[in-house]
Amino acid sequence: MSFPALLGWMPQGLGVTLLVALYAAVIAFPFALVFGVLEFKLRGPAKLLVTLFIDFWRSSSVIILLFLFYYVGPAFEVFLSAYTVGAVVIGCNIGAYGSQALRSALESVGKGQVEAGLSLGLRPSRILLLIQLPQALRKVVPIAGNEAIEIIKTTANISLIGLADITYRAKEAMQATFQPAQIYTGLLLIYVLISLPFALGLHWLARRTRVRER
Amino acid sequence: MGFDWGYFLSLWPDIFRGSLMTLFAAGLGSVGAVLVGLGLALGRRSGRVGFLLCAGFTEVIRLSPFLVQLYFLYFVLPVWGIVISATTVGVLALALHFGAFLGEVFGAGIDAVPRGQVEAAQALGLRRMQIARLVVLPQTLRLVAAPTANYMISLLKTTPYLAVVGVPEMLGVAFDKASDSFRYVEPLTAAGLLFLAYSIVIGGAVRLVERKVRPL
Repeated sequence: MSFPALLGWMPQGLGVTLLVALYAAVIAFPFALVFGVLEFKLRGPAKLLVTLFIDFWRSSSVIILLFLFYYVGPAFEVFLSAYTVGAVVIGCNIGAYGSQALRSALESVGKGQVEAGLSLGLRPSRILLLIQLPQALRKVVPIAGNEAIEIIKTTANISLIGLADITYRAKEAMQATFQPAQIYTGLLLIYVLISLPFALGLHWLARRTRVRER
Repeated sequence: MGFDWGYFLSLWPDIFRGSLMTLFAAGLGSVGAVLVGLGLALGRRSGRVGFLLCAGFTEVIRLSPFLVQLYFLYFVLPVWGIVISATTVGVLALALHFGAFLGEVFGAGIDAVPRGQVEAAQALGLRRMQIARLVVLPQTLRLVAAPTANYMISLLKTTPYLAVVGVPEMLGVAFDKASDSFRYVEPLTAAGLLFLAYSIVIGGAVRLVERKVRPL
């Protein structure tokens, strides 16, 4: 079979992959910000609840969570589209990992800076907003880049709940043409190409920060 | 539809048997991943060609989904004349995927040992192998213990994907049951719960490793 025919499946699926990745990102980053800050600031039972919620999304496998929400939801009269399940599960899973990164970055901001803020008469909320968060957010920029790559990669799972993303289309094309070597090599390369800008950006950022630390 | 407790409880023996397969694949995959990681970390240090090959392989693995790598091995290896069982393909995929990540960890661990110590050992007349065994390795192992253990947890969480190519592990068994009875709630809940239990136990073990084995 000719090469163009082998590539025909790509464009249709690419849109679905990118769209779900975008929705998931829209959920993941606010999730990480809100729950990272909450786990850092709250104390007592409220903190325990937040931790449990975060751990629920972290502790299981994305594939199990996807199946759980997609197949178990309808039994309890909760009907969600595959799009929604995919975006919510991937977004919350990656967001939960991100929240841990943000929390540990917040914890690493020096205690003296908080005390300095207090002695200047700043309220705790102002200290969080003006002193702790800006420094913590700087630290998690590389991690956020990694999470973006992670989101794109994780979207391959939605093919398993019937969404026609590139992985799904590749499988269809393989069943039609019986050319797995070409199709799956192409599929691997597409994912690498989508993620490559993020990876290169991270390399660039790492080199820049290393120079500054010297 | 609701929740059928009787059916739910009747599933446990089979789900548990499937979970043994999960643990087996994860254990074997972990050993393979450490070997692949060591090979990559050392390969990167052996000349220009070795560096390019290992770095290229690492990037392709790190930037593409595990599911796609699994499909690749499952469908493409037979085309190349390599016919192996689904379980072997699954373990191989786990070893290659996590080996790529561990290679980076191991490389960073070796780099973190200050150059002056190697030079000091050379000045004392130690041979190359002695330097690696007595000076570099003990410090590297302490540095990489915690991140390696964390990747082992990720590896465990990735084993359910093997169900996709037909490995009879926990999720695969749950799906077989579900398609027999057309009830998805109970098998998936059982698999999810057991999986959660394993994650918590192994996560606790990892936290213990983190506390006990600290960098010097």
